[in-house]
Amino acid sequence: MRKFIAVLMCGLFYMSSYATEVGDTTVSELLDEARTSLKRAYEVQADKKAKYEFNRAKSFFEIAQEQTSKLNLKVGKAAALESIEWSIKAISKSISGGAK
Amino acid sequence: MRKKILLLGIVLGISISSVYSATEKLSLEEKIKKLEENYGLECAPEEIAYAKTYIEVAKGLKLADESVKVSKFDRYKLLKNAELKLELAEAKINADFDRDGVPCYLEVKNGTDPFKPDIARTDTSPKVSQEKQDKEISKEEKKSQVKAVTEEPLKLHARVHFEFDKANIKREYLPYLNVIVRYLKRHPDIKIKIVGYTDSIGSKAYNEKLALKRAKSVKQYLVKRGISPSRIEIEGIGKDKYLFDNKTALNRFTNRRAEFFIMKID
Repeated sequence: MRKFIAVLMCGLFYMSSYATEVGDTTVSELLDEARTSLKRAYEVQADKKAKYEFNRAKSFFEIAQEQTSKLNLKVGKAAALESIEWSIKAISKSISGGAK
Repeated sequence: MRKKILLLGIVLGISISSVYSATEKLSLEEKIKKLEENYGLECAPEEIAYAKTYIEVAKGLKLADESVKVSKFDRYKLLKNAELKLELAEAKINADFDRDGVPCYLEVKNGTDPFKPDIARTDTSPKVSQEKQDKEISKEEKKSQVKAVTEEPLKLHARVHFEFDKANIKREYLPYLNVIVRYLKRHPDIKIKIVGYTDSIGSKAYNEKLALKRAKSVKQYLVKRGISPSRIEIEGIGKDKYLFDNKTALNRFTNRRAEFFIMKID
């Protein structure tokens, strides 16, 4: 019984750390979305055409990952959101021609 | 009494550390501003982006009108990383990526590509199009012959210095001449005048000849790099228009030079 409770507690703790709801979206969902946005930006060659914006997105994503792993979920979520925003900026810049 | 001293120490410690952290933040932001003014976004976009993110996160992010912060240790780490990234950015701004002798910030300032060498570009430029350009230029020249011509100094690093009694171009000036070549290729409507100067040593007649020879050698280099000779005028001024007095060897070296002027047609 004790073992079962311990496993249950660990499971709950793990779930709460990776899927704590802050607002409507979970951290893990946001991290997923940030990763997808970065991938999309890379596919339109934003890493070459919009270097600054792409690296802003990448750096925020790295921080979001790091902070989430440290259970600082609020910062993780805020950084993931910033990453998504910068990815969108990078995509729009590289589609419109990029840096000249 | 002891308690008072302890309390005073704690208060002083806290205030000093807060002032220190505030100035550190300020200095990093100021550094970014300076680097951006010095074409940091063009030469080191990755480093500037990372540094800005680190500083923003260290200051605290916003999440639905709520300020969220990292731990003190993470904050310290982020600021240190930002500092490192800025140092790297500074090095990249002054770096010569294409190995043409011109640092990145200067190339961006002059409107040239800091990641492509000047020589490679001139070698790959097709000769036919150059000839066409030259023909077009000569036609335009004929049309505008009647118009008045004004001169103004070329706003690039456009000065070549020479050794005593010599007219050959020193190797270190070639990258600067390559920048001028690229500038002239980008602006086919521009004609330039190269003026040679000497120091005060020697006779007037000899120096005039030497000055012309210096202007000629610079012209030859530009022609070799694909600029039409019809776009370049040369003049030898000789013992006149010194930049400095001729009392020291360095001053005389500075005076022995060839300068570029844009011939603008009104």
